[in-house]
Amino acid sequence: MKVYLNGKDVFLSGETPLVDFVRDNGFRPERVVIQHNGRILTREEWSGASVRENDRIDVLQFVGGG
Amino acid sequence: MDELVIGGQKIANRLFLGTGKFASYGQIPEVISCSGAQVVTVALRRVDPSSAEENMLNFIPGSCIVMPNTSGARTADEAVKIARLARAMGCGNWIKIEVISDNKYLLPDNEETILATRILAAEGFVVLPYMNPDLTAGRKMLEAGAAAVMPLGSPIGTNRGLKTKEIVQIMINELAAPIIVDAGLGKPSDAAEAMEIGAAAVLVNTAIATAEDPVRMAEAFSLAVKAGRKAYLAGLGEQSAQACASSPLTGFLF
Repeated sequence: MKVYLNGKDVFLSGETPLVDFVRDNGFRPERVVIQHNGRILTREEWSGASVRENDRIDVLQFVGGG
Repeated sequence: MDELVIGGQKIANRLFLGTGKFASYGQIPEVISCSGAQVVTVALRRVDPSSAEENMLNFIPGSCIVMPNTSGARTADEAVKIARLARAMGCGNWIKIEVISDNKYLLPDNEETILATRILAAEGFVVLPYMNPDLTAGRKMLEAGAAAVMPLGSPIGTNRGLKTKEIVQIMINELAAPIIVDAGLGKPSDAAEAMEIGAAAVLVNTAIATAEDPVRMAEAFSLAVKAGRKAYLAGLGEQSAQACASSPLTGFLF
């Protein structure tokens, strides 16, 4: 199935726990914020969330800025 | 006691530091340490995990106030979304609102900024809007709940100094809130100039990050900010068009 991670296509074999998905894609979950289909997830919501077909996942972090 | 309080927090250092454009994030801890900066800005971005870019939070001491900006926002709505995402990071509720639709000069959109300020202040953010210097817009931002306002000295990243001095001075005179000069300050003397006229603080990024020696420049800015503040508190002497002798005009030898 196809999902969108930060605007790019990613293919998964099936529904995947969100935390695993984020970690498998190289992010360190403790220092990111996640938007799932346009909705900001609180940290408490992460463990119960799953990535399903056509979901849009945005993973953001702080970078240098003025 | 000369205290700066924003959003209920005492701010010990009037130099705010931006973290963009450094040659490496590794420079930032020492720059923060040498500048003494307590308020540090960051941006929020989607990141490609395959890139070498590290997380900025690893380089900012826990004692600092992290002030995310809403860079990339072109409307109030986008700024609000970015602010909410930034807060979800769990690093506090300060936000620098930055709404820009002009790509050439990167001048902020005051109208959209006022709208975003109202929404975010109502949601409990400590809102510091970056703005075009303007008394009426500044007043509206404060009425909308801004904790301070941040007029630009000159366009972002230009190092051109305090070109907007007249209007910034009027804002300092008329608005009962901290005025923080943000953007364009290129030299320590620019920062001192802003502080001398009564700015509550300055936010500096490019001038420090792109200096040959950013750590030393951070220290130079820190000294300039302290000097400028002290001069403001001391009360500057009056200017005059003609010379006025400093030595007595009596008892001459010749």
